[in-house]
Amino acid sequence: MLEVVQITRCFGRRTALENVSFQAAPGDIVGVLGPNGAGKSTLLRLAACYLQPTRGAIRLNGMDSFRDSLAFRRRTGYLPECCPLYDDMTVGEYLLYRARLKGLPFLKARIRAREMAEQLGLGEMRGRAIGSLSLGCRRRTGLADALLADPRLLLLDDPIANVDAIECERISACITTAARHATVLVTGHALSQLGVLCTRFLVLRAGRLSAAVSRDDLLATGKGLPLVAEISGATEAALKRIAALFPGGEQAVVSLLTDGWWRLSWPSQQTASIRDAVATEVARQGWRLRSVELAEPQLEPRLVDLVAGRVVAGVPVHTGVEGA
Amino acid sequence: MKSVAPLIGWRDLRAALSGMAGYGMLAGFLALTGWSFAELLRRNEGGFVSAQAIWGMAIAPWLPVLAAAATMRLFAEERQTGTLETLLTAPVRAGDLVLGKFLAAYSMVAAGILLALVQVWALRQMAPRMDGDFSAVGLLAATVLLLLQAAAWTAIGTLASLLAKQQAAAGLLTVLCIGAPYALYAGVLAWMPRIQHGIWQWPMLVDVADAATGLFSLAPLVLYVSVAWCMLFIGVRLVEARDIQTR
Repeated sequence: MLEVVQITRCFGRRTALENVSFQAAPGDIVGVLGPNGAGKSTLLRLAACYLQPTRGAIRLNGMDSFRDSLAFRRRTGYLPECCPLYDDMTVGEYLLYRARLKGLPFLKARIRAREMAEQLGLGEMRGRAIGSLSLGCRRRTGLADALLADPRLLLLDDPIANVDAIECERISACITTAARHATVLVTGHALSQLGVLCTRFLVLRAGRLSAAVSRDDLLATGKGLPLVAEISGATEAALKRIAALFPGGEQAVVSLLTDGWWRLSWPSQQTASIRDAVATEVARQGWRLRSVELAEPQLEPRLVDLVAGRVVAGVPVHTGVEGA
Repeated sequence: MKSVAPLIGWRDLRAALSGMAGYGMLAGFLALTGWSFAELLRRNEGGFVSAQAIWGMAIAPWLPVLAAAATMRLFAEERQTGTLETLLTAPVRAGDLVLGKFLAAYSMVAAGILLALVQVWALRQMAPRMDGDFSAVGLLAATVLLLLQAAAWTAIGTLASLLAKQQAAAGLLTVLCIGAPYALYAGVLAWMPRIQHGIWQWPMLVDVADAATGLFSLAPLVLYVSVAWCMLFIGVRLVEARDIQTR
């Protein structure tokens, strides 16, 4: 269990992070979101023991990040934002060096370094100099390093920035696997990818925690899944009358498309069964139905609203403390 | 938990020798000390100063420069490339980290001193009649004292690298920290009647010359070991307090 208690970090007169508190359990993939300069990287650096908090404490399974720093770091894997690696080493040499640095005995370190390279698709690149790797491969090497010592807390600062879709998918899969027994804090700006990856979101604004919400809660907020049907042979009034027969249909919007078809949509809570009901009703009226769909829930617009500081219905505005 | 200082030292030494910079640094040191050795021999021709003392005094003034060159990249480069972040977040004791870095740089400086012994061998090949002027014990004592000096200067350089953000600044800071006390000493001498002794009175040279001629004293040993220990201790405390990267 990760506990962040009233953490504050100042750089001179500037306060980068102020009174941030939250808890996260093993299995949680917590997306730390926010605009640039909100304090996301500072939070991760504090949790990685790179910086000392000005006030407050960070505890992992009861271990304090400052007083038990060595034991804390032994259970933590960290991938910094710019993914710094030693360019003069090969991938294999680097992972072996890092594994030994993390206290693994030589033989175990070799096995573990090989395993992680294979797991992240770096098996064939173990002999290649890090300086010659693409950004995606560097990220995977950094992630392999973070995962080497089987961490209980995984801190990933923007791990999927500027990588292609395939790399992103591979990195996301590794993070999901690691999260089976670890707490993961991940920052980033790629909200669509983070929306799929994370189970919870913390939103920082100007160093303060402005919102905290689980993925499921965020999906359940707002106006639900809109139903969209394209119909011909009907009139606008008739379509509105038919829509009113269904739950929430009184809010239906009817619009004429350029090809003469009508688009009927309403944004109330829908279930898959309503599609069949609408199709049956349209057939009964003798109209033609081109398509009837339930739109997929859109998480990204809600995350954008949260990051931008706009009120999202159903998500409480935060005062700084967030429970497990 | 087993110390990882040798592992850190090995990585840094390997990085220093992976390009031309490390070899260039040693070659430059050998060239400068060779020139100084030849120049001092020429000036002391027919004098009473032993050849091994002259060798030691030719090496000593260049040691701070070699130490600065060997240490300036230790932490400053890691900070510039960002790898300091991964290093400090690894489960490594601050003592292991500082000691490992120190050992890497000290290996380079010590290699420079030992390689400079080639100059003695070369002189003996070129001037066989000087055989009588060389004492093996004196040469060994001068080498030991130079190695002690090197430890102190390397420790100062390690601390400077911790404090400075850029490599050049770290190198300059090292030379200034070592040179400033000597410059002050020379300044004081300038106001005293013993000015005629000039540079020969500089402790870093006198210590080496004394050792090379059989005048052993505990004072330089205590001085150089204390300086090295103090500098490394301060470095460890700075790393422990995480006071080095927020500057």
